[in-house]
Amino acid sequence: MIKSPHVFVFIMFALATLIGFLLDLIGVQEANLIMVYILAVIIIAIYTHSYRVMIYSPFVVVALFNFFFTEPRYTFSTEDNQYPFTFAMMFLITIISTSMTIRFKNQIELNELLVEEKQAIQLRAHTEQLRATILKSISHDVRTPLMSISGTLETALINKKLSDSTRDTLLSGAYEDSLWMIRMIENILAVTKIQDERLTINADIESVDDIVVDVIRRFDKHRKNRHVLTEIPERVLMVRGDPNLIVQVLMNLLENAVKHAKEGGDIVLSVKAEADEVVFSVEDDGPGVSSLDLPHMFELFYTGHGDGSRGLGLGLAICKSILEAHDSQLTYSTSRFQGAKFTFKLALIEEAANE
Amino acid sequence: MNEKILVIEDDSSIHNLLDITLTHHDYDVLKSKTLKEGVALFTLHRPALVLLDLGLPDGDGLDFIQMVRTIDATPIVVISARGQDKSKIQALDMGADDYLTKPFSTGELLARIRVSLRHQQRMSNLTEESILKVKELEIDIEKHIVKVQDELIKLTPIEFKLLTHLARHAGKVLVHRELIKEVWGEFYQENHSLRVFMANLRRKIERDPSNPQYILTEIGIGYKMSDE
Repeated sequence: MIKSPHVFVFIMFALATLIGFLLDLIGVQEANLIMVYILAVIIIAIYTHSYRVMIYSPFVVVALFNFFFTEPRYTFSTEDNQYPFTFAMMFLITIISTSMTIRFKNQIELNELLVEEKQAIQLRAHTEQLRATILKSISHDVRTPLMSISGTLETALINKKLSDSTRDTLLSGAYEDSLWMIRMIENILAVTKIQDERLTINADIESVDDIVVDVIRRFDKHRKNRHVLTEIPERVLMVRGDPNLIVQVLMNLLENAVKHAKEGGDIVLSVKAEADEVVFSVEDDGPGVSSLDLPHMFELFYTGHGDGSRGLGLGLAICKSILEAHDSQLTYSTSRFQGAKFTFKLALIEEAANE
Repeated sequence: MNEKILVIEDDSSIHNLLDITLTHHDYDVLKSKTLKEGVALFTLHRPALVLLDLGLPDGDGLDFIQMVRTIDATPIVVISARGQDKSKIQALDMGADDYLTKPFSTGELLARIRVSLRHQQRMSNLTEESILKVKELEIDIEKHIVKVQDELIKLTPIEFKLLTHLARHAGKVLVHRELIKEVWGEFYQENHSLRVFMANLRRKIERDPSNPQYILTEIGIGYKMSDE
């Protein structure tokens, strides 16, 4: 790029003069040569941001035209008494076209700024709304398990004569509740993380193996008496994404599956390659999603009909927004056991050549 | 004599919980709520292991790791909050052995402590063993032979290097960068192939690669050879 606007101005005027000479040689009238200079000035106005250039350009144009193309040539004097009028007109046209160009340019910049600002405001409003809803749900639904935990501990502290079995029942209930709260708070944190980093998801390239290994290990204490089976392909598949968030999606889907699977039933986490995509799915052997719940199940805080278990309706909604941040989506179908099956796809990254 | 564990954690409830749990499992607990006191207790008592919270009121836990590592290789297990992957990696990079993410269960805590202490013992037996053993995995370093349950496993040179490094540091979390440096050298940037090699290695030595007994994944951070 040319650094100084003055160098650019010099080049443009030299070019205009050169073209002027060429046109003059083939007998083009001098009135038309003026157009070449005006064109040069407009180009200068578009590509430079210096007001000084805009101010001196009209003078230079008139001077150059006078010097090179009016009789007597190569002097600043003129023979024809028409010329002062021509010069004045030329001066005016140059000034007007320059200032019009500048205004036009400013207008465009202003518009761009306005659009950006509007988008920022919209994003902020959206984030604010989500935060408010989450806050509402925390104050509303988190109290129950917290009550159970603090109540249990209080009882255990005060009543010295509780039988061991009563104490065990009480404490294991509180323990379950605390685990539930931990999972839920992780989900809430995930949402705020996506909201904060909507545009800069902490993406890395991970192997499907690492993701599945991490999920299976973390999920072990949540699986109750269900069997979690895994199916991963022989070929090593790589995907791009925030590994912690993808693990979170799978944890939520597995947790859902545990909630709905039969006692001692089977849950399958399977991953396979399909064309240039990696397909993750979680299937259970439960009753599947009822037709009443189907249209709403991905909504935030939707808890479903006749679903006796506790839940904030956060899980699937969070999966959905995590996947959206990864340009993916969650879909529902019927599983191989006639239960629920949730599926999402991520782009397959071509693996590096082995050794 | 019971092994001494230094706990540096400023939150009172967690502090008490750690104290009670560890004492109950026959460890001698040294307690500190500040970095300064922690340093003093460390130099005075030379504990067998340190449990370290990274966010302390009077300074950064990372400074403690740095200080200890100029003295010796006492195992350090870092306690951190979820989502602080960067500081976890930093801590491991500076020489911490393992980390626990809050909230963790006491069972998990005790397992990490056992593993780290064992790792420490193995490392202090300075004689470089020519045969490494982790559970039913056997690596003959000189002969380049790997066996799982007495069954011979064929590995590529890079896989062998990775497995040996992991086995030598069984129980310690090795961050991606460190493993890459070990196998491909200082200036190799890309960590995509490391994931591929690990996955292939698992397919060769693990009975169920999605529920591995040897090579565990610390997602976003690195890998660890498990010996429990």
